[in-house]
Amino acid sequence: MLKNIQLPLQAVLLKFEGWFDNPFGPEWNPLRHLGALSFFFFWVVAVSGVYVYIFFETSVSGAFQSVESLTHDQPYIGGIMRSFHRYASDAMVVTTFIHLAREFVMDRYRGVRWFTWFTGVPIIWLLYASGIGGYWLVWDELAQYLMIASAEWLDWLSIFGEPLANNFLTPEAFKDRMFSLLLFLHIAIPLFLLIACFIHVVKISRPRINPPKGLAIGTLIMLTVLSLVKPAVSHGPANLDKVVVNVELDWFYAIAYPLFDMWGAGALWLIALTLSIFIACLPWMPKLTFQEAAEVDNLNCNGCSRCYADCPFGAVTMQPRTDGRPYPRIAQVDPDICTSCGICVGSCPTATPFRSQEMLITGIDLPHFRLTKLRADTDASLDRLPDVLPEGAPRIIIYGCDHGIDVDKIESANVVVTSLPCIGMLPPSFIDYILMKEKADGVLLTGCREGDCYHRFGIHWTEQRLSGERDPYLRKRVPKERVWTCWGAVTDNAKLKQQIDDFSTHLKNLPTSQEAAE
Amino acid sequence: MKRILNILGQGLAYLAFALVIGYFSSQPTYHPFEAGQALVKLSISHAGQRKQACTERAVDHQRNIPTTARKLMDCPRERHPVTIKLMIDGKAVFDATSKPSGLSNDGRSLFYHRFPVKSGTHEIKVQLFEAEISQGAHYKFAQNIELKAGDIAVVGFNPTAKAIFFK
Ligand code: HEM
Ligand code: SF4
Ligand code: SF4
Repeated sequence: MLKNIQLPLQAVLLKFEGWFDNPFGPEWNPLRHLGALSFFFFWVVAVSGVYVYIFFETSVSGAFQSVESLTHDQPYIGGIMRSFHRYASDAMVVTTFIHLAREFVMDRYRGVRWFTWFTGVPIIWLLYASGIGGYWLVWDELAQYLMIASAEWLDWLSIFGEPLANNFLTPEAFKDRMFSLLLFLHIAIPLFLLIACFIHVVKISRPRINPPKGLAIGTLIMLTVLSLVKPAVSHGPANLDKVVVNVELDWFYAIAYPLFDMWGAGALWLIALTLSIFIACLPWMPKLTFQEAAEVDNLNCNGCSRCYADCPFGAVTMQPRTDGRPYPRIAQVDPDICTSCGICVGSCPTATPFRSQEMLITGIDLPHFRLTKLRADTDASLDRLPDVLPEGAPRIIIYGCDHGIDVDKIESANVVVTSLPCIGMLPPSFIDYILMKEKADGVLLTGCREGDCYHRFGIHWTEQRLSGERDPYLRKRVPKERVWTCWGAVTDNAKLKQQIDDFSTHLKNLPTSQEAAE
Repeated sequence: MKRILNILGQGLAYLAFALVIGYFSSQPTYHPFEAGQALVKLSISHAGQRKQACTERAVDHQRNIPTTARKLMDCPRERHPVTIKLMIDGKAVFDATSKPSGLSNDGRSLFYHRFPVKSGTHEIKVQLFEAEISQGAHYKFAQNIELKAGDIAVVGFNPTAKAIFFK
């Protein structure tokens, strides 16, 4: 049921996202930095907010005029800062909601990720409270409309004693003291928003909270141009003796207000609360269960802490050793937050196929997919390859992962496939092992799209291991020209086919090992 | 060449984003209120009468209480709900009873309502009942008022003057 919703949406999203890969490149693709972009917009709003605050007058009579003079009397900077403040806030709504939708569609919100998703829900409330609270401060007609409607909406709860809306009945009723409270709220709520954002990512190891530089610069240029072309301006001054008839609503923040006018406060509370609870409960509808958590083998773990460094979910901790072996520490897995991705296995120095035992006992291993099985699967795949191929077509072994390009039907006379939970589980020594045996001429590693690994760091670590930047790295004796990668989503089959063809041609033109020796 | 195309492509993406933000941050214009109309706001917070009058306490009831805490009168705090009726141009537009606020029903009854009306002269009549309707209205108000388009008029209660007012 859930998959029936997610998969078609995923296809659309991946298609759309693919278009962005061309001009931006996979590293800058904005759709893969939505959380970081939201953070970035927050900082832009914060900095421009401080500037606007310096010139703001906290009084019912002075606020409007102070914002007007900021907009019109300051050569550029004031007007731009005000526009930055508004447009970055709007952009934050957009990136936040696409971020939320993307995590849902890509099924990255259940299981160990529930906490991150769950803590996203209060963020939405705080985001709205921050934005709407900002519009009140301008004290123009839009502020008047939003203020009174907000007060009436809150009054429906009848928890404030005297209705809040009474503060805005007449010009005399609205006191400076109330205005100071509004300003205080507009500083306090965004601060809570920031705290909530940090809580949101606290359980993510190495969260990407800053967008790549190129994306940040591009975004700032965009905001500047928009601010110059269409500066943020006020409506006419508020007048509590008069009804507001026309408002140029900021639909990103004020979308609920027309609904309030149509359906009333009760209905809107019902919608807002039901929707929030529904979204908050999604990680359990249904719950995502992973395979058994990774296991540490005391006798084989030497406490090198590579698995601790590589686990993308912070499930590994290093503990003091009590078994008397001559290493100070030992790895320990928290089964509640382990996704059984196997990335830790790929990082463990003991995980090598070269050992002769039938059972490969590693420092850390996946109970449902042991390294022994990976070696057996690899051997079986190699056995399916003929010793010599007609016309000298190169023999290729492909490693596929459970979440990336679909490698299922790709096998042919000279191409065999082995799958594993995440490409990050593959210790580079396996590549050495295969090419040493001379049963295959090339190894092709596949996984999710670049920068978008389902298990977060599988691709990144693999790239670094191949290039020798990260332990365990691919040994120097391995001919690198016989190892290719192809990163892509489930829908990127055509790309894989093309890559296989290109790889074959490339391999065919390489000298064989005997030729190389001569 | 490819670099230029990439920059163009990125520019296009930023342009689309900026257009969406720039447009929906102020458009389409919304009309929360029909032009040519005026608004009457009824906002009254008023305490109903006590349900029971105070009674003198029996002397034996006081015996166990320290002298400083003794009260001679027993005043149950619960109040009557308040009812307000509003007629505009002879038509009853509002007739509601509101419970006293507060956990022990001893606070004020709260009313806050909006009534859009056509601009022009209107006859406004208000009746406020502090207790049961059968006792009759405790406060009454009637006045012809002229409202221009967009005007907001407030029907309220002035506790010092003890009267319903119109502003
Ligand atoms: C201002 C609003 C938000 C900001 C700044 C923000 C920021 C972030 C950041 C920086 C990450 C880490 C990304 C990574 O390193 O891969 C993240 C992950 C995540 N966010 Fe948000 N977020 C926001 C709102 C939300 C909302 C409203 C939801 C959903 C209700 C949500 C759901 C998630 C989930 C499920 C993840 C986990 C992704 C993963 O583990 O791969 N976020 N967010
Ligand atoms: S990588 Fe292997 S040897 Fe190193 S700490 Fe982890 S389990 Fe132990
Ligand atoms: S299987 Fe994945 S999530 Fe579990 S401990 Fe290993 S690296 Fe961490």
